[in-house]
Amino acid sequence: MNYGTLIVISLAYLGILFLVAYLADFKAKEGKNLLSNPYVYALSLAVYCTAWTFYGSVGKAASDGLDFLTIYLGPVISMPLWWVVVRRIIQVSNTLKITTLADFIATRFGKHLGLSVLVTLLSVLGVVPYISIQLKAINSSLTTIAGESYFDSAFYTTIMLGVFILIFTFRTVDSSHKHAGLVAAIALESVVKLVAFLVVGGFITYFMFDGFGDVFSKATPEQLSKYDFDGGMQWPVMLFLSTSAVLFLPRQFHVIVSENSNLNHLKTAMWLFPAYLLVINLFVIPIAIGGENILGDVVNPDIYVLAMPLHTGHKWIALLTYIGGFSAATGMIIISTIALSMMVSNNLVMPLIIKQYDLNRINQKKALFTRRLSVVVILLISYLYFQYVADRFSLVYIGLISFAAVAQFTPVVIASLFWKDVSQRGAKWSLIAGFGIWFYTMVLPSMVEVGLLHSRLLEIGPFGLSWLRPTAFFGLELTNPIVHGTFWALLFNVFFLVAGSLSQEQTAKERNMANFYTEAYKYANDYETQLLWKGQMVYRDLVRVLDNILGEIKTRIEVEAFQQAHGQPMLSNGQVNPQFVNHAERLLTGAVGASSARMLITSISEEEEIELSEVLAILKENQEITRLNHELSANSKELEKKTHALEMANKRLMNLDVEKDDFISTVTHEMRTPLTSIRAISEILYDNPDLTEGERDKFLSTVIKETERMTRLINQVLDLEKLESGKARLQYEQVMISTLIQDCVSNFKGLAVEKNVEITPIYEIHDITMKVDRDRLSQVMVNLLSNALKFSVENSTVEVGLADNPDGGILIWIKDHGKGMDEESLQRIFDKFYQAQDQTLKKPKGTGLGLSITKQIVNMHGGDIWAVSEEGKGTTFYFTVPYPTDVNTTETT
Amino acid sequence: MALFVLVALLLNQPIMDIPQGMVSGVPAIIFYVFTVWLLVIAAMYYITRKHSNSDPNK
Amino acid sequence: MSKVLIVDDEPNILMSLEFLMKKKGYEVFIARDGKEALEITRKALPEVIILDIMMPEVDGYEVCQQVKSGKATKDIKVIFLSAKTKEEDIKKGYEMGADLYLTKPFSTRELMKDVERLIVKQNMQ
Repeated sequence: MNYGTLIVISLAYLGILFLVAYLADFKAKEGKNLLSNPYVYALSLAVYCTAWTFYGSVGKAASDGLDFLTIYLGPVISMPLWWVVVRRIIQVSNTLKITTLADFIATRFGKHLGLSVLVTLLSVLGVVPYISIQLKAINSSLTTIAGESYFDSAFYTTIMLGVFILIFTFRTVDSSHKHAGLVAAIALESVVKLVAFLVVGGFITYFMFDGFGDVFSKATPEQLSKYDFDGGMQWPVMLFLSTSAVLFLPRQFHVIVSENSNLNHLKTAMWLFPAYLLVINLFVIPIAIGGENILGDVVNPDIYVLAMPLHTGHKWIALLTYIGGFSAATGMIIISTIALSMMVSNNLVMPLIIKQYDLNRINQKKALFTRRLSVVVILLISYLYFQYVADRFSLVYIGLISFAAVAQFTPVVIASLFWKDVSQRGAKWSLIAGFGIWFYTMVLPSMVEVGLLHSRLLEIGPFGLSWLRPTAFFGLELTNPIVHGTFWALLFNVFFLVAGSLSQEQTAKERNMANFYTEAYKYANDYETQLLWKGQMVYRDLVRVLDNILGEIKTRIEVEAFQQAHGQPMLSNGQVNPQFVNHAERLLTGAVGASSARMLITSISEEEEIELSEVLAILKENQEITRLNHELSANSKELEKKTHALEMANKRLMNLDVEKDDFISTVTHEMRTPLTSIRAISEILYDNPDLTEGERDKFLSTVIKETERMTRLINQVLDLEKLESGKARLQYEQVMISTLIQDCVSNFKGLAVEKNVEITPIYEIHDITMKVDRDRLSQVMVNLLSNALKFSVENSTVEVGLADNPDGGILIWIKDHGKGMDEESLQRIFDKFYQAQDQTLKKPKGTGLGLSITKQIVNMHGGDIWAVSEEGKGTTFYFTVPYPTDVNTTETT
Repeated sequence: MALFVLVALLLNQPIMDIPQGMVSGVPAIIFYVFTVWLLVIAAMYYITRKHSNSDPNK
Repeated sequence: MSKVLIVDDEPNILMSLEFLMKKKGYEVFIARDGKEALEITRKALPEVIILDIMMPEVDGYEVCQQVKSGKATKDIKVIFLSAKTKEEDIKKGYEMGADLYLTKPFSTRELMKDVERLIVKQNMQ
């Protein structure tokens, strides 16, 4: 393939990245931020897979079998822990405006400059080689496809990437500002490399072979045996390395923590990322086996992915693969460079500037400039490393050394999150020890290989001390230098972490931070108010610094926001409100890093040492406050509930009031009607002495009936009132139920005969006696029977049933075959004064209170009453009477 | 938390030694590893779904 | 002979009213609900309607409105005779177009005087 074509294609790809980044930034300004998409966040984590994944996995699989999987299984296995650990890191970082790992560690331990410098240097040392092998991968992939190399592709790539970075990042000083364009580009890049790898993998597996089965069947036993699980320390050690690397590699910390805009995205990432890793690894083993079979030892296994399609002449697939690898490499370079340069400019360059220059001359432009400068420097160093060193080593080896380097951060970070007592000294010692051993056991041997050091060092140890041989401490030559180095480095790391911490008292500030990292991160918002700064600082000075670094506009915005939330930033004497000092320092951290921010603050103030006891007192107070806050919010929720309940009760009361009014007006209304007849008839009788006897009789009997009607109404109203208000007491006596029912039924003989209705008793249980109120229960029976008869049609039956209630007690029912009623009426029959429409009578007889009273009586016995009806078929009333609990029932058969 | 321990055990000795031979043309161990991997993904998905109903700022 | 229509769903009240009207010599018509009342009104065209309000299906208000808006019936005099005695009920009754609103229980003598007066008025129209 033509070299020129390849260059063009590579440029085109970068152009697409530019475009995507630009669009994403543009959209973000408009408000449609891609960063609010959890999938974008999750995909950006896949920057973990670099050219190593693309090329080196196959290489490692071919040489060491299953081991390559540890790089990906580590993150997968530790994924469940992410919710605890990573979430906390993000929360802490967001609150304190921490944007790099160096800041994270340094802030915890007093923002000591030395610590952040240490972390920065170690990160650079560990990662620059990694960047350079990406360049190497680009170079070799180009060479493989093109067949030759004309010019230094790596150089130009570096330039292009530098330009990309400078355009799309570091445009504002506030580095806690999220870079939408950048993240979008990285997410895209993740997709590209996944697709490319799947295509070439699928091609090799299904086209060059006939599927997975075929590939394996064509494998020699020797090959297959490579994929047996070998055991040994290698496996768990590598798992540990990848677990820590996926979090603490600068590029990982950046995409996971710095660019996180929503904690919920973490949830998506927790399953999407392992899934991504799974998919991208599916075809690695088939490619390794197939490649070995077809291409043998001629070709470096790292390049199988490219070599295979080229071998069969499928240039386009090879091209796609190349793009994939290119994508993977560039992604890594971009993010790593950004992360590293942030650390370098914040912790190495900025402090120097602050020390040298008058504060007035430090401004935004300078801050941005240092950052951009750092980008250039880092890229330059990586390039040089690539030119002079990288060629000697395999992709994998250098990658693992990087992993081992950042693994040294693990003890410190974990401790800072979970162990309150870890101190600055412990952190320093831990890092120095860890990195020292790392350097000695892993970097030195590589330097020997390159010829920088004499190989005697490896063979007989320094100064002839054989137990200090870099690859074999105490004679233990563990598996390989990586495992060996990691083991010892971690051992010393943790040891010194603990030793250092125990040997030093924490300062007040540290104590405060320790508290925050381990507990108070939850109360992120309350943290603002933690008063932990003592000293003198002139407000104007602070504002000047803020103006210089953040810019006047942003400063004003922040000041106003603070005013709204916490009050005046300036005290009446021109001094700064201590709370605002904290706030300002945090803002500065976001711009120039924790250590530099610290330096700026101290340079304009006279701080006073806070006693540890003061701190503890304040912390306790804050704990109390937050506890009270929580109680308060819990209480206010309680209050809400209670208020609501009160409102409901009030409503009910008002309803009852209305009900009462309605009741009274209905009752009086009902009274007027019979009174009307009585008065009218009385007047008639009075004014007409010459009535016939028949007429007089008719009138007088009407009067009598109406008075009876009124009396009934009054009685029922009084009865209902007694029952409802609880003034009525049930008079219990032993009653034989069937007899009671029979007695009531016999009352209606006359009426029944009139309508030719037969009342049929259906007793499923006989001779049951129980304690009930005889009169009241009879009242119920009479009411229900009279209703049943009233609504029965001629020549029908009314059934009266008595049965056992399975839930305890008896069940009585009365079934008529009248016209039944509709759903609506059924709902309202027990309402006071409700009278069902009866077509046979123009005006309902009765008061409408009967069923209300009946229901009351049944309920007072502890039972339930309900009705079932079907229009045209009839109605059945059911009610239950439970056995009184303190009374025995007897059933005599 | 428990999941982590479980998975950590599953993917290490001694359990890793167990799968031997071939499964449908693929070495058993590979099959096993990828299966466990899939299960972890599924578990994470399920757990985070459940979590979605509660406040992330716990 | 003047025609009077009595409308009420209480049979006992109907009985008393019927007696009174017949005694005075009016031709008496009876309706037990609003529907019947409207039918009879349109057919017999009485001079006066004594109208209860609370009745099933079609109530007194409805009857009054229809009577007062019908071309043939608008001159018929309507007396509401109701147990609804609140001020707003009475107001509503007059708003519906009633010529007179009497509350129950009523005085038979007063009622007779009112009916006569309205008939005279009606005849003069």
